[in-house]
Amino acid sequence: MKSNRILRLTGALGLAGVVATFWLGLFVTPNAEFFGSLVRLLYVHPSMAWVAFLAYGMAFLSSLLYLWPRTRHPRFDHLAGASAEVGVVFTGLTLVTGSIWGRTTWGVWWTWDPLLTTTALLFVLYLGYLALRRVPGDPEVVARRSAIAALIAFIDVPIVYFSVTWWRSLHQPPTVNLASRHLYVHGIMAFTLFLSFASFTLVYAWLTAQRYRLYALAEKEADEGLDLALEERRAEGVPA
Amino acid sequence: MSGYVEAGYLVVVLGLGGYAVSLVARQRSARGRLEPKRTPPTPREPGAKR
Repeated sequence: MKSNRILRLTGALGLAGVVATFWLGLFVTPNAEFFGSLVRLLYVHPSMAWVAFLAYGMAFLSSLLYLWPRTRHPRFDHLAGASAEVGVVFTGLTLVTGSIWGRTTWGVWWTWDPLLTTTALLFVLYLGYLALRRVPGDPEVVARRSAIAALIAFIDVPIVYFSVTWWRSLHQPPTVNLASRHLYVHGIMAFTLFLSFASFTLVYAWLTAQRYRLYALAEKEADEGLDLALEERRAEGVPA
Repeated sequence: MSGYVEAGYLVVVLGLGGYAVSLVARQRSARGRLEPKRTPPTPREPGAKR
């Protein structure tokens, strides 16, 4: 029951943080010199991308733990599946909010820019991963092949992040540059940006936990269904 | 403010909100399917046929 309370608190904090981010982003922060009011998209778009990376990182780690014989347990397979699904939702939102940004700053909804193309590829790769998880089969075989697919799909994550520095791109360099530890925004704008990162990370944790519970419930349902079928078979064998 | 900014925020709210609601609804329906199976079997009357 303690985990229930922690989960509720995570959800409540995440929701409160998102509401505060929206209020600061839409009504409090100033317009930027060059982008004007469009800079307000900065408080949602990069955090969507950050959470997608985090989700795929978690799916990668859980898949590794599942494949490692000493740590192999269905809970790591469930965590990988849950995290990847939430990651796909956040990648979709990254693409849509990025497309709105592109329309207003570059004049087009979509362009085959390296960052956009590799992000779209990431979306498709993890959609494929989720489809693979649904292919029927022995649960252990399904979990193993899904874990291998998650490891392969993750190769695209660093490619997406570094694409703006590796190739000539329309997209500006990362607003928070992890390599040089340089921040391109300051004051209330930086605060709102970091609040957005923290709040959506909490939302990710809550959503992943909910999806994980769904996997656990489905497993329980399958087990109970099997028990019921076995009972019925046994009953058939008993003479009346 | 341009309508694009509001559209961006709206997409995020609808996307995440819709997904969260769908997860909670799916959990409820899964719990609902599990509940009846967990009710204890009614005791048989002595001497009743199996």
